[in-house]
This record gives sequence, C-alpha cells and structure tokens, in this order.
Amino acid sequence: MPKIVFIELDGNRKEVTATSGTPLMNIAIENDINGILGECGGNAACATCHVYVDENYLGLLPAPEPAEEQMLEATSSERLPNSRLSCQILLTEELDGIVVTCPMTQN
Amino acid sequence: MAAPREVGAEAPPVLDIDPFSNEYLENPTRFHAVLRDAGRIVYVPKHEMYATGRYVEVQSSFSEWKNFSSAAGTSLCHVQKGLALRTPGPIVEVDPPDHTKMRTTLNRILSPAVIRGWREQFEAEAERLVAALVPKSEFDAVAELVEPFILKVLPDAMGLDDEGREHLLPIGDLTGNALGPRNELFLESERRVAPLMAWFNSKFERAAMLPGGFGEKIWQASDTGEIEPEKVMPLIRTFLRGGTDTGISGISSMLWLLASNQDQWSLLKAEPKLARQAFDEALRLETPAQSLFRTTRGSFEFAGYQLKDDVKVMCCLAAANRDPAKWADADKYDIKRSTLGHVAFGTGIHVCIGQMVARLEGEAILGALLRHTDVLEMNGQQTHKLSNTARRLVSLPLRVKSKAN
Repeated sequence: MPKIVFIELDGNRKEVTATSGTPLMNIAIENDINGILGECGGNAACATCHVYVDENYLGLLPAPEPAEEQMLEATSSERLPNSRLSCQILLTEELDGIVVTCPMTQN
Repeated sequence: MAAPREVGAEAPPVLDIDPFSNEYLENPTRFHAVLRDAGRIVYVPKHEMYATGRYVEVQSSFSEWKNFSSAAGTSLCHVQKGLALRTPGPIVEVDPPDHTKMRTTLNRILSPAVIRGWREQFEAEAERLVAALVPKSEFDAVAELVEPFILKVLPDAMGLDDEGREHLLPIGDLTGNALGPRNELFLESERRVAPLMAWFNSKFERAAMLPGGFGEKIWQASDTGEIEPEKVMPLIRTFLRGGTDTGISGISSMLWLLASNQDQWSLLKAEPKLARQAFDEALRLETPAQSLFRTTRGSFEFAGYQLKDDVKVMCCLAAANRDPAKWADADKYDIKRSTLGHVAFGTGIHVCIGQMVARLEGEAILGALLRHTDVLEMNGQQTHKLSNTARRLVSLPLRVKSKAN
C-alpha cells in the first residue's frame, strides 16, 4: 500500500499507508490528521481540506477540475502554486511517499 | 437478429405503507428502520414511487445524476405531469450541463471566502441574543433564540429589509410540506401561506435588494449574462426557502441533543473546538430535510433490481444517516465520532450550496452559549411539528446558568 506523509499544522510529521483509490482527505480524517477538516465530505464544496503538495509529486497529479479550481480561489490560508484540495487527490501507487503539508487555517 | 430479451433483475420489493401518514411522521426513526429493513430499494404503491433509506443506495443515487435526474423536480410531484405542473427550480431542479453553468456562478457568489466574511456579523448577533437570554435562565430556544437568529442573519446576508421577515416561517413550513404529496398537511400549509405570497415575491425584486448582499450579486450576474434575468427571482427564492427552515431545524436539534445528552455537553464545555462537530453530528441524527426526490431516467438496474423509467424515487437522507450498516451505534449522539460522509446536505453535484453558511450559523450560536453558560439542560418537553419532509422542532424549553451568577 502506498505511503503518505502528512505534515500537520503544528509541524508534526505523520506517515500512514492506505489503499489506492482513496481520496487523501478521507485518509487524513481516518488517521486524525491535525489540519484537515473535509467538512463537505469530499464534494469540493467547502475548501476545508486544502493542502500544499510537495513539488516532487505535484506534476503527477491530474490538473484540478473547475469545481476544485473555484474552491482553491477561496481557501482560508493563502493559495500557493502547490495548493490542492486533498479530497480531489486519489491515492495511486505512483504517489507512494507523497508529502502534503496542512495549512495553518481551514475555515 | 434476436430481439432484445426482457431480462434482468426483478422489480424491487413492495413496501405497502404511507410514509407521509401521521403514524410515520410522528415517529421518523421508526419509519427509517421500516424503510431500510424492507430492502435496498423498494416500491411504494400508495405514491407510485421507489424509496430507499440505505446509506449505500442513497449515496449512489445522489451521485448517479444521469440515472437519477433532478430535472423532473426534487419533490414527490413530477413537475412535468399531473397536478403539479410548474417551472423547475433554476439550480436545484436541473441536470448538467445547465446545472454546471449555474452552479459555477453561484459557487463564486457564495464562495467559502465570502461566507467567512460574514462571521463577525453572525457572531455578534448570536452574542446579542444569548447575552439577553442567559439572565432569564429559562427560555424557549426555538422561538426566542434560533428563529430570531436565522431570521436576522440570513436575510441580512442576502440584503432584505426587515419588514415582514416572520412570514418566512410559514413559508418555510410550506417548503417542507410541498416536497411531499398533496395531503392535508400540504394543503393546510398552502392555505396559510397564500396571503403572504405577494409580500414574498416583492422581496426578490432588484429594487428590494439592499447593497452588499448576495441577492444584489445574483442580480449583477444577470447584467453580465451569466444568469438569465428570468431566473434571478426564482434563485433568490430558492435560497430563502431552502435556507430558513433547515437552518432553524439544524441548530434547534443540536441544542436539543446537547441538553438531553449531558455527557456530550460536558465534553463540549471541556473542548469547545468540537462545536462544528457537535453541529454536523446533530444534522446526521436529526437531518433537517429528511427526504429529497429524484426521478429515474430510463430503465436500468440498481442495487440488484430493475427500475422503470420516469418514476419518482424518495431518497431518505435521514434514514441513510442512521443506517447501522454505515454508522456504529447509529442512534447515539456522539460529538467525537467522524461524521465524514453524512448526507444531511445531500452529496454529489447538488450538494447543499449553503452548507458553510449553516455551519457558521451553528458555530456562532454554540460559541455564544459556551461563553455564557455552564449549564444547558431541558426545562420541559420539546415539540416537533408534523411535516411531510422536514424534521423541525417548534418548541424547546431550556434552562441555562452561568457559574458567575
């Protein structure tokens, strides 16, 4: 199973593994990651699962759909070039080792 | 060439009850269990509809918008035939691609950033109401706290003036009944609202919108051609009808559940950042819009059964939110559980656009109560109203007390 490294909002580093095909937001909630809320349940409708994706993995992700793009315009913490919604990132074998950093605020 | 065979799965099992009878509306939890136990999806002859209350099937019917269309209305009545001919709602009752275009515009007008900008006003109003109530010690939380709060903050955000806002309550009641059949509940509610409709409709006019509200922004989107002008008033109406009673319902239920589960209130007092969680968990258990409807588009197989074309489907969100196959200890109010995936706001392309407004409302009220009172307990029996699809407290006697007093 691929590994994900979450950098929580206090800087704490948490490594977890999960099944391919699962959205990163769901993995974060299951593992109680401090800094990801996912309030709308994965519908790209709340922007509370915003993360910064490690540059080395960013290029491996499909470009954001329009709905995600709109929410990224409205994040609580600053949008950076590596900003994504973790509910829209499906884990794959290729993403093994992906590092995502939680922003300081989500709402 | 062989003719296409009439094959496939069987028709869904028949559930011969009336979900909109007083017997079930008075005891929704019992109805939810009956519906779930009857099958993954069932046919209800009384209303010539399918119905489902299992989490997996409710979730997938909302996700599969091509098979389960919204364009024939999200009510039990089919908008294109029968007694209920009407124009479908401009955002709720359309399918892609029309829906996608409209939703994109509305997502911008009601973006999370815009909603965060309302926080200060919402918190100030909650603070004002709670600070005035706490010295009384005993009050009715619905009439004295939640209704005045929602009738203040939501129309303010939209940009309505103050006149006649109390009319939004019977109009909200009609909204919940109108989704169901044309039974006595609906007709009575319609009679009560009839004299108010002229007032209501006048509130969506461009000239009626106060500057800075999102009503004005919707009108402005019609200047740029993003929204057809004839859709503006129905859209504004949708927000008011969709956001008033559901908002009141969600917050009232949360207060009821906290006051009647003292262990959860203590948890929350010790850890006030669980406030948003306390709200979402209340929505899961006491889902404000209990059911919404879809319409089958084409004949297809679903959950192992063959469904017919153009039949209404009652998707019971409330039953899905208490499905023991999905939720451990499903009937327990537990503010520490993960509510991820609850469907109180629906899911999929039509997921509630006002959900972040609702959370802000819930958090504002709870934040003010947590600051002002140590005790939050029941002071008598709560009362729900009967509604075809809404779960709505009409009275919630509470007692509060601050240690400081």
